[in-house]
Amino acid sequence: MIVLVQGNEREKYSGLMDQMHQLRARVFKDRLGWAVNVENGRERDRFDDEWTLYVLSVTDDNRVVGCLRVLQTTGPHMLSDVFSDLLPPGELIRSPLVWESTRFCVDTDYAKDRTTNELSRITGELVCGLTETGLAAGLQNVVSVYDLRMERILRRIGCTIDRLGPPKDVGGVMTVAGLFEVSQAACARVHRISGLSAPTVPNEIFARIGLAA
Amino acid sequence: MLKDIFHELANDTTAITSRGEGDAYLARTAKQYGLTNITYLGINIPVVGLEHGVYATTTYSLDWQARYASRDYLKIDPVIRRGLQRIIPLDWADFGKDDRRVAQFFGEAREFGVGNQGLTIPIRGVNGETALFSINRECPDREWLAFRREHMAQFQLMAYYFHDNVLNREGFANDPLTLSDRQKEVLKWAASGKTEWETGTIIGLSARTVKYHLSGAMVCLRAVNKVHAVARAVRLGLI
Repeated sequence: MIVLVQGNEREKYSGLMDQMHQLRARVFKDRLGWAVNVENGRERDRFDDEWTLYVLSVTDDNRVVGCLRVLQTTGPHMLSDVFSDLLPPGELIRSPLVWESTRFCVDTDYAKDRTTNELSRITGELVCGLTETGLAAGLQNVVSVYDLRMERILRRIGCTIDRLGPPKDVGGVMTVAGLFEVSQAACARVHRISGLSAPTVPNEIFARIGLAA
Repeated sequence: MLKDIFHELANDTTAITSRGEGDAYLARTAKQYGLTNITYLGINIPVVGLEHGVYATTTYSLDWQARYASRDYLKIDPVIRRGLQRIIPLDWADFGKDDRRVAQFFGEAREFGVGNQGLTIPIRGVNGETALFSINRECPDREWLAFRREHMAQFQLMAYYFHDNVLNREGFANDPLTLSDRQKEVLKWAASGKTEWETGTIIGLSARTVKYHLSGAMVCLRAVNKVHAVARAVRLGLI
């Protein structure tokens, strides 16, 4: 199930958040070998601040098995502050209708131990969770920076991604900036292809964050 | 067509050059959307002379403003407590369920003409300033949900544009108004009547990407729709 953690609620969800930072360390540092900052087995950077929104995929026994983080493009974000080279010159994104999603990861060890579809299901759940939240917030797009491996995974589960610039080698990793449309149709497609069986963000979750339908 | 142009001018935040005009804009917009109130509360606005960097402008009645101040409601107002440090807009529907003081606060607000429904859009600026843009409406829940869904994007833009205007008026320079080559390109094709799909075919992008660049151009120009964006771009000599 999806759990949304807003910037001002991080302490309330400190257990889940701690699991998330540990998962990110395992995935981005240990497994993928990226040059990320890990302290005490937890990965975090300056974009994990008081305003960041987190979308977590959590099992019934409260284990974080997938996560992504969301920043507004109207404030500091990775594409503007770190990866601006991935965009053609002058194409900085600053819009209240565009969010940026980064640090997308799934606990592949957990997924491996289960049915072959679990990886797709968790990935799809995160994408739909983000898209449904975006829809409620009036968004038009989500932009993201990811490696080509992630781009393939997302396309396989039904995401329609438009590249915003050519892929470039960033620290030994082929990286690209991509654009997602936030729409019912986009969400439904991922829902169907990744084998999700229920609405991703139940209304109780939206009610808790003050945006019940 | 003429009606559209009038609408655009009425909604044009870039035309606001004073606090009074800002107040008039809020009053006009409230009427246009059938809202009982609109409020802008800027915090940490980095301008000399603003006490605590707070800039507030609202269509709330003077009586309610006075009551709010004299009862020190800033301390219990859940909008301010929960509205900051979040990026998802906040619907007021959840307030008052557990806290008796909060329920009383909203009950009192209604007596002073604040609509039963409310929505707050949090704004976080690049300079560390923050703002809360709130709207209120008097209507049943089902109607409110449909209204909110239909207009959420517009309110997001409105909040962002108004905040930007406040900063500009208070002398705080923002990002210069420049359009990317792509944005200029899609605007020019839109101006000549091409659809997003047609433009995409002509310049080699998907219709989705064209729509994204058009939207980006609109936001950059603080425009409320495509026609407004083209008009502003032409007037500013950008296309």
